[in-house]
Amino acid sequence: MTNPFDAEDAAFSVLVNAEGQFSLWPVAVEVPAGWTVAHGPADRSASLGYVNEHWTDLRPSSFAGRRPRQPEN
Amino acid sequence: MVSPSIHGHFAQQAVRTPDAIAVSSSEVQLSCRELDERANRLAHRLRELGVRAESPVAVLMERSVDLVVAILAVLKAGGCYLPLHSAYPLQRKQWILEHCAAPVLLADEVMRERGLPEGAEVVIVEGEKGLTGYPAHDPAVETDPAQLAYVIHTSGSTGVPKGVAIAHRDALGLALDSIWADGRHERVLMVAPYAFNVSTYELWVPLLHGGRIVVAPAGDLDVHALRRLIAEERITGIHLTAGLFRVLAEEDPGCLAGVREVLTGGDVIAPAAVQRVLEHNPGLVVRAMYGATEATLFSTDAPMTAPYRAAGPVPVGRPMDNVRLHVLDADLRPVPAGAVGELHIAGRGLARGYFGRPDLTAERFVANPFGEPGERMYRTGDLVRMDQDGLLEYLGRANDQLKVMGFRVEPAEVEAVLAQCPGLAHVAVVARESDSGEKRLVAYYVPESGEIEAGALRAHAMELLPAYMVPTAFVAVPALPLTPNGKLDRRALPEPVTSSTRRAPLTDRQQALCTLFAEVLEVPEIGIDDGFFELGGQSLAAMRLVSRIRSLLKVDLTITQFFDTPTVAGLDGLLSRPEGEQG
Repeated sequence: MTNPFDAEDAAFSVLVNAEGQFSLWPVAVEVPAGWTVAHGPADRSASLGYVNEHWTDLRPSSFAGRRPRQPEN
Repeated sequence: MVSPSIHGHFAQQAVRTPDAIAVSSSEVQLSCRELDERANRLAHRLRELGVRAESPVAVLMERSVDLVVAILAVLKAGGCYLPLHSAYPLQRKQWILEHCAAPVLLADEVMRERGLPEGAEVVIVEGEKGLTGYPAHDPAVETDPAQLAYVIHTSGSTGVPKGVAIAHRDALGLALDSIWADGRHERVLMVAPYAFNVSTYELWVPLLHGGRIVVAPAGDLDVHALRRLIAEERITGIHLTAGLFRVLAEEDPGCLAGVREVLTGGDVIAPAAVQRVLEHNPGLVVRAMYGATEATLFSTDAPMTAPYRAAGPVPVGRPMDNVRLHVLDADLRPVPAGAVGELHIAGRGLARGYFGRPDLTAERFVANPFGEPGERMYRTGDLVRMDQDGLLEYLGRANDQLKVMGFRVEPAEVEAVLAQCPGLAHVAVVARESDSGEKRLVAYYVPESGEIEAGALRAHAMELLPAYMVPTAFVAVPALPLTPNGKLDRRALPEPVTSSTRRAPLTDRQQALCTLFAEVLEVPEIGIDDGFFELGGQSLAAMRLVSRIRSLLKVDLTITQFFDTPTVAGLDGLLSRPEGEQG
C-alpha cells in the first residue's frame, strides 16, 4: 500500500491552520475543516520548498504569541 | 492546582513526600527534597549561563543519579533537554549540537575524558560540586504547557538524524495516563539508553507518582546482572525491548520474579516469549506497548496476564487516554474493521515536529479530516489491522524503516553515509533476519573500479554511525540486482558468507564453546579464532551466549569481558586464568 503523501509524481497542496502549522496535502483529497490552501497545486518538491520558505517558526501561533493567521471558525 | 509542567508536577510531589527516595544507584540515593533542591541549584546556574524558555541544553552523561538531576534542572531552568547518546560517534554528536544550536552541554567526567563535542559551554554535573553557591529554592520560571520539554533524535532517511520536539503537555499526558495509576511502577529500573524515548517512561512515570528511579550501573548489562538488579533492588516496573524480552524469556524467565509489570514493544513481540514469562511469573502483568517518538513514546497498550496461550500474534492494544487512532487507506479513508491500513495517530502526544525541519514536519504531521477543525495527525508508516473490538494488530512497515535491537533504523540513512566513502559506485543496505527473529544489517556494495576493502567501509561507517546502525556484513557485488520495474531485488542478493580459517577446537571446553557460538549465531560450525561480531553476532545474541556459557560451563563471565574477547580461543584463554574461574 502506498501512502498518498509519499507519491513522488502526484500533485500536492500546502495547507495551513490557525496555529500557522503547515501540512502537505494530496490535491485529490478534500481539504479538512480548519485548514486553508496556502500553495499549490504543485509537485511534491516545490510544495516542500514552499513550506521551508514560509514556515520559519515551528511554534504554534497561540504559544508563540503571534497573531493567528486566521480566526478560529 | 495542577501544574502545567513536568518539573512543576515533580515539585508538588516533593512537597507531598519530601523524604521518600526519588532516585538511587548502588552508590547514591536522593530523597525527593534532595533531588528537587539539587536540581534547583543547577537550574539557577543554567539561568546564569543564559538558558531561557526552550533553549536546547545538550546532555551527555553516563547513566547515573547525576543524570536525573541534570535533566530535571534543564526543565526547571525553562530549557528543553537534548540527550546525546554516548555511543554516537563524535561527529554525530557534534552535528546534533550544532543543528540545534545548544548553548550549554551538561556532561560528566567519564564523557569529558572520552571527548566532548565543541561549541557549547560545558558544565560538569557531579554531586554538589560547583552548586553550593546557588540557591536551593525553585527558580520559578513560568512554563507554558506547549513549551518544549525535550528533543530526541531518531534515524532519518535523508542521511541525517531527525530531532523530534516534544512539549511538556504531551510528556505529561503520557506520564499521567491512567495505566500507571495502580502503583505497579513504584520502583522502576532505569536501563534504556537515555537518548531514546523510553527514558520518558523511566524518568517521569516514577518521579511524578511518588515512586523511585533505580539507576542501573553504566555500561552493558547481561542477563545475570539484570537478574541480580531486579532482585536486590526489588524492581516492580521495567521496560524491555521486544528483543531483550525474548532473550530473557528464553534464557532466564524467572529473573523477573517480584516484578509487577513489564512493558515491552518497539518491535514484534514473540507470543511464545509472553507465554513463557507468564508461566514462570503468574502474578505478573506483561503490557504490550506500541508507539513512536513522534507521538510521545506510547500510544496504545495491551495488558496480558496468566494464563496466557501463545496463539497468533500479540496485539499492540487499544488507545491510551486521549489518543485517537485512524486506520486509513491510500485515499485517506477509514478502512473497515479487520482490513489492513496505515495507522495515523491524533490527540495526546503529537510532537510539535522535527526540530528545524519544517518540510519533514509538514509531510508527516498532516491535516486530520477526522478531528477538531485544524487538528493534525501523525502518519506512522505502520501497517495495522483493527478488529471489531478496537484491538490493534501490527503487521509491518509501509516503507523501508526497520528496527534493529529495538532501535529505529532508516536503511537510507546508512546508505547515504556509506555512499560518502570514496571508491563506491552503488550501495544497498538491507536487513536479514535470523531464525530467532533477530535482525542484522547487511551492506551490498559495488566498487567504482578496482578494489575497496570491506574493512575500510566498516571503519568509515563506524566513524559516522552509532554501532547499531553499522552493518554487520559488507558484501561486494558486481552490480545490484534489480526487479523488472527497476527496484532493488532483495531476494536476488546473495547470503553473506564469512571466510574463516576454521582452526578447529582442541580441547573439550573449546569444543563446547564452539557449539554454543554456532548455536547462537545459527551457523553450522565456527573456528576458534572467528570473531563473534564479524560472524554477524549482535549484542542481544551476545547476551544469550554469555548466559548459556555461564550456565553450561559453570563459569563467571560478564558481557564486558565477552565484548573484549569475542572468540572461542580468547574466551578459553580467559577462562583458563585462575581469577577468571569461580567454583
